[in-house]
Amino acid sequence: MATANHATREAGGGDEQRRWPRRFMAAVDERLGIDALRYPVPEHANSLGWSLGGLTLASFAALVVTGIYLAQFYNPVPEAANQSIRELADVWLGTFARSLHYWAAQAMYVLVALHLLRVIFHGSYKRPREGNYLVGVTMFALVIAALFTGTVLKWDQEGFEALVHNTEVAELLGGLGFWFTTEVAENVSILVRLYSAHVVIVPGLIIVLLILHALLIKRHGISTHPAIPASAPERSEPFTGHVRRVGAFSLVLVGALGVISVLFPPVIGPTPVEGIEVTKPPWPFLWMYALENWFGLPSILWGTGLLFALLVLLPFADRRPDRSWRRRPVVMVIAGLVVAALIVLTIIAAVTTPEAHL
Amino acid sequence: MGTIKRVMLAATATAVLTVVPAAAADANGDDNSDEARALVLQAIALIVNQPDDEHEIEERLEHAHEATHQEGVDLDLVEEAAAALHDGDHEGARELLQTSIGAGPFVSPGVPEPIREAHGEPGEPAFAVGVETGTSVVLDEYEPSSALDGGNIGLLVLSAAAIVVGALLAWLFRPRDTVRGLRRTAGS
Repeated sequence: MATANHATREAGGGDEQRRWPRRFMAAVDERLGIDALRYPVPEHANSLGWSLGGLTLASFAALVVTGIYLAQFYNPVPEAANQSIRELADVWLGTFARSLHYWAAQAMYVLVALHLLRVIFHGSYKRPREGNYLVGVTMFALVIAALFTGTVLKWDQEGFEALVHNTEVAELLGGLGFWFTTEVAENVSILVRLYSAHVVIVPGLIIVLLILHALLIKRHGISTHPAIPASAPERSEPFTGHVRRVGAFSLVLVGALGVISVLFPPVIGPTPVEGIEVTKPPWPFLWMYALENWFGLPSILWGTGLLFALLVLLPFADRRPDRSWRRRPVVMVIAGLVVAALIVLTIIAAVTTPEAHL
Repeated sequence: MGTIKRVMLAATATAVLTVVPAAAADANGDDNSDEARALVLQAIALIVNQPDDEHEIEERLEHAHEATHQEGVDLDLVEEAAAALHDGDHEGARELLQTSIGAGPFVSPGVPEPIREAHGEPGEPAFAVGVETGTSVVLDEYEPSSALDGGNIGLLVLSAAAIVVGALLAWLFRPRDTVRGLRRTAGS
């Protein structure tokens, strides 16, 4: 009998132990509302194509972590900036951190562009998601801004020439480009102001918009897959399950970035000198460079403006509920032409020798 | 919006993207600086970035001799640098030019004071402002080492482990139904 009682107590203790983590999670959830993340999402959201937004977030997280580390050693004054990056070679994991930062930035640009194309291809920007789509387009613009400011921060000849082009374009914009000119603060180097943009303004805005993006996804739900009929018995699962799969993909992404970062650390160019033009911009900006070669500096403005005008106007021009790509030939043709134009211009610029424009 | 309007929008957008008219670029790349120091610095940068373009480099040195403002530059050394360049001695020319503006480790007695001290006029900041580069010595391109030492091998192993574990987890957490499968089910 005593043995039976002991066994009962043991079993009761085991149940108690098993219940303990659950009770702890319930207590945490009661205070932090984590259970709100368990809202249902359709199972197709767990495919790689529908996880590109999450992977973009993973690369952003890698950028934030490596960026915080790099900020401890980077000296954002013109006389020392370039040299301080070279000295990362003497810092523990310094070269790797910069390399991972560089490659994560490339990955973020590619992933956000693919995510945007996926949204356009599946018509996920349609009612009621137009607002969230515009939030996404704004974040795409901010990613480009982060790439540009990061390029300038290297403070080598390539970064400096990118800055001078941007200053000239800003002057074409008149009052709208005021912040990018030296007139804002004449006794402060523009490098210092772009540094503040790179580490505070741009990532800060991305984080604010990211929260809004996530809240709107929860509000409207992840869009249905246009290729899956409404009558299909598609399961749903908690959003936390989607996070779990994105986390697995992210692990692959970070691992791949790690390998590339070790094998291909980015170079840092010569310290910059004003008055010469001998470099080409980084590859995400090459299509603008090709336009500039042909039509001059203002074409950078026109080309970029046109691209974003098309992106912003899309949900207002394509208002029919059809989301299958087969039923949206005009959108598909325009999107295809724009992507083809960007690729062709990039290739043309990549194979031409640098030209002086300014 | 009707189909015709959409087609017109597509055609217009494509036309504007590819043949947008814009002001022609000023593509000569000349910098008509009247400061000998700026021109010497440009010549050094050209030696570093485009050593084969000797015509451009020599042009900068000639302009330095003719510049209105020649303070802070040892023009005799610039002339020696031009001769070295003519003989194909790029490294020698670069050292002479750096010395001529008192920059870097090549400062010798009798040459102008270091750039950073010579920079601002009284009452003006002595550090780079606006879009000034702050460059006093043109450094070569720097390529970080990617040699497979112990640390890099460790990082490669960790990264490879992340790829393997991530791929395994992605397979374990894969969706139970595929899009094709769901369409087939709905069709039947």
